[in-house]
Amino acid sequence: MPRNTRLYSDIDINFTPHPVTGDIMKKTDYSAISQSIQNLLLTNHYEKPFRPEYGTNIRKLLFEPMDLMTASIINEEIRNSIKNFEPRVLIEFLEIIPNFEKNQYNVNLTYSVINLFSPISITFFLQRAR
Amino acid sequence: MASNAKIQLGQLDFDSIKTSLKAFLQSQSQFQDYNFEGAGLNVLLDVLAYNTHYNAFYMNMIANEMFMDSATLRSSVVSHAKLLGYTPRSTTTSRVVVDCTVTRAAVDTSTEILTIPRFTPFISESINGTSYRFLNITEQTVNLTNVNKFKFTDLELKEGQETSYVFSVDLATNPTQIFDLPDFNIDTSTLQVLVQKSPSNTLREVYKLSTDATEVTSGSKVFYLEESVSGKYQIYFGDGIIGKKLDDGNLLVVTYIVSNGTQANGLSKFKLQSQLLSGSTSNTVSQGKSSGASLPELVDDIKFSAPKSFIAQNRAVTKNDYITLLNKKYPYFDAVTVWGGEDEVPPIYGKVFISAKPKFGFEITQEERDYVTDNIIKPISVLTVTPEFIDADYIYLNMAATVRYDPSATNKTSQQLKQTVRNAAKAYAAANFNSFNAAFEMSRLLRAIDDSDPSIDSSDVELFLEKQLEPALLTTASYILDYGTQLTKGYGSTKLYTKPYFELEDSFGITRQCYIEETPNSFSGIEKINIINPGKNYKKTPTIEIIGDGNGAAAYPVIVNGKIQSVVITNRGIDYTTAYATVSGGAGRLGEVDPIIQGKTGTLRIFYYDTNNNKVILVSDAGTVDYVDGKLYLNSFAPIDVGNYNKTISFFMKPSSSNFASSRNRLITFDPDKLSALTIQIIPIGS
Repeated sequence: MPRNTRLYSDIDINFTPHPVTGDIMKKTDYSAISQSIQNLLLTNHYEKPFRPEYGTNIRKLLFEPMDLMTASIINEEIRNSIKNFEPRVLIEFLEIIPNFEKNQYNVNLTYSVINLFSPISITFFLQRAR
Repeated sequence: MASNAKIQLGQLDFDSIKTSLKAFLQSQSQFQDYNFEGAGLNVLLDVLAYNTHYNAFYMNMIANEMFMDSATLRSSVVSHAKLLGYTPRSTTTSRVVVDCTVTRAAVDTSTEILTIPRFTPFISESINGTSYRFLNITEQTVNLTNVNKFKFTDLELKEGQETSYVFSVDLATNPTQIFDLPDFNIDTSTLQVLVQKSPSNTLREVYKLSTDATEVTSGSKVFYLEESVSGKYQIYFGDGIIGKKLDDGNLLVVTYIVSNGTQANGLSKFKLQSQLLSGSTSNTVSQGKSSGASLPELVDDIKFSAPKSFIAQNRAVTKNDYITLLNKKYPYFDAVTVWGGEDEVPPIYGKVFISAKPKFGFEITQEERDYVTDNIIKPISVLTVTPEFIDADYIYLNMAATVRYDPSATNKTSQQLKQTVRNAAKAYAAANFNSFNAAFEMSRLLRAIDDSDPSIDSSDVELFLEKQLEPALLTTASYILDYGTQLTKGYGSTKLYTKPYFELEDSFGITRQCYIEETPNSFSGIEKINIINPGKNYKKTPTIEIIGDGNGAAAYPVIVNGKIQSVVITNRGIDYTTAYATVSGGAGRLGEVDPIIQGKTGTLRIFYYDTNNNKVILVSDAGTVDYVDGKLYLNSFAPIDVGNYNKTISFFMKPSSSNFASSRNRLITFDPDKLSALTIQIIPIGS
């Protein structure tokens, strides 16, 4: 496979227009997969039409008492949903750290993409919003 | 992107649409993540597939509801029926006809004329702990008869609650001039619409329901009735061209009866809720049991009836016109059959015969016949054709079931199992009998019984057909009972029997309690040979050969002037059930004869039991039974009395086949309330 061939290509779900052409922006390879994982983790069960099992139950868990047990359940949820719905990814490292002062969980996720070389690490936080 | 690719859309469910869109995207290389659930492109596919699926669903709904055949919503079906000029039948209330006698107080001599107003309430007997309120439909005024009595006859009562609404006609607030009646369960046949000029002018005019647009003129006082989208009814009036138009400021007084449901059938005891005169007493006698309460016409029934009503064009011409008409306008009949006089033997031209079974009971009163003939059929039937009601000819089934069951396969007691079998037989009867042109099929009944409980191993049903005869007492008359099917020559327990006893005098003038039995002709040979065609040119005596399932019969013809003049039987033979004869030889031709078998008939005789319980034959030849035609001929029968309250003798005969059908006005029925109509014997296996 030539090095410049894009394996994965997707549209930018934020619909950001290209500054020059005005076309919709494209996401490729790592960024496409990163977007896909974020979509997956931020979608609730029953949110996708006719696909109730898609997504994670994180939003509900954010309203549970904040402790290590809940963090562990969130960890499990994320692992399961990625295993089920994102076959391009292998999780290398996943860590959920409750931040009691800010009422949020910090998520450190390192994964490697099948057929791409280096693993990727993303860090984001989960916080309930209402 | 590959611009030439096509989206292949076969199925319209969400998953198929999405699969088609994915297949479409395979033909391009720009975006490749469409197949991953988390991809942004996949979200777009979801939206697109969702939208397509919804549109397809709505289009499907719209297309379905556009046609009467496929419409499912009641409002759509009613709307389609409207185009065919068909208003679905409303709820009907239970109806009964009564006679009411009011006896005024002896001291009250002032009242000579008494009126029973419309909607005078009567209270029924209680059924399941509830008494129902029946209302008089038409006002009646009578004069005093002797002994302080006022007699109201043929009062038509309908169950329900009278309801009245006043609408004011205001073109500014209600420009469409459609008035919604706010109740469900209205019996629209009780609807009365009065129009009052203004609140100050209290003169009221009656407006009638328009049933035929061709008769309506600009001045016709008519209203139109329709079922609205909500399932309630609405009325509206003419536009000044077709029907009289209402004026601003008119008042509309609408009264009707709202039914309390279908429970008020089968009631026969009624009394006035409050006396018409102070100090008076009253006695109400019902002419029959209340009947006819039914729910509004169901969607499937509307789909069935509306096109037929349209084809009939509000005329009664063909057989189906009559049936549709009676089903629609007179819901008090359970089953209706109609046939033309030309089908009779011999033909009776210019008549149409109608036979019907009422929903409750078995007889149709004369009052009902007159009402149906004069008010429903005659206004729209062909002038020269006379409708005539024929009594339904009931054949009652009497069954004795023997059921073998495995006691280890059920936890039911034998009594419970009996009830299960009874219910199964009842359900089978309800589904298959009580209608004209029905058939009794033994195998299906047995299957229904066998399937009623898993523990039932096998079953057997012995069937007797019952015909009822109400003889004229003390008057000599002949009667024919037609069972409509071939009968069995009875011996022992399969013999004809009658119930209850009837009374005849013996030769000493002593009144005896008598019964009728059959004695089948014991000969099975040829009784006589009829000449169908005497033939011609016979020079010698031809040979007659009798061919059948018996043997030994022989006969020869007597030839006079070359023709068969008579046939002499030399040997009657034995064991014949069927036979035919051939004529051959004699150098002539065309001779044709028909042998009659003796065993086709039997003799009826009347007997009684004397004080020692010995059977004594009183009349040895009371009539004949024709087994092949299925008829009993009872001659010169003049009983003094019959031993039951309705003076009816039941004749029980066993049919020769366990499958038979009814035709014309003959109706196979089964009285589920009569225990003797179905006796059940339960036998455990192994005993």
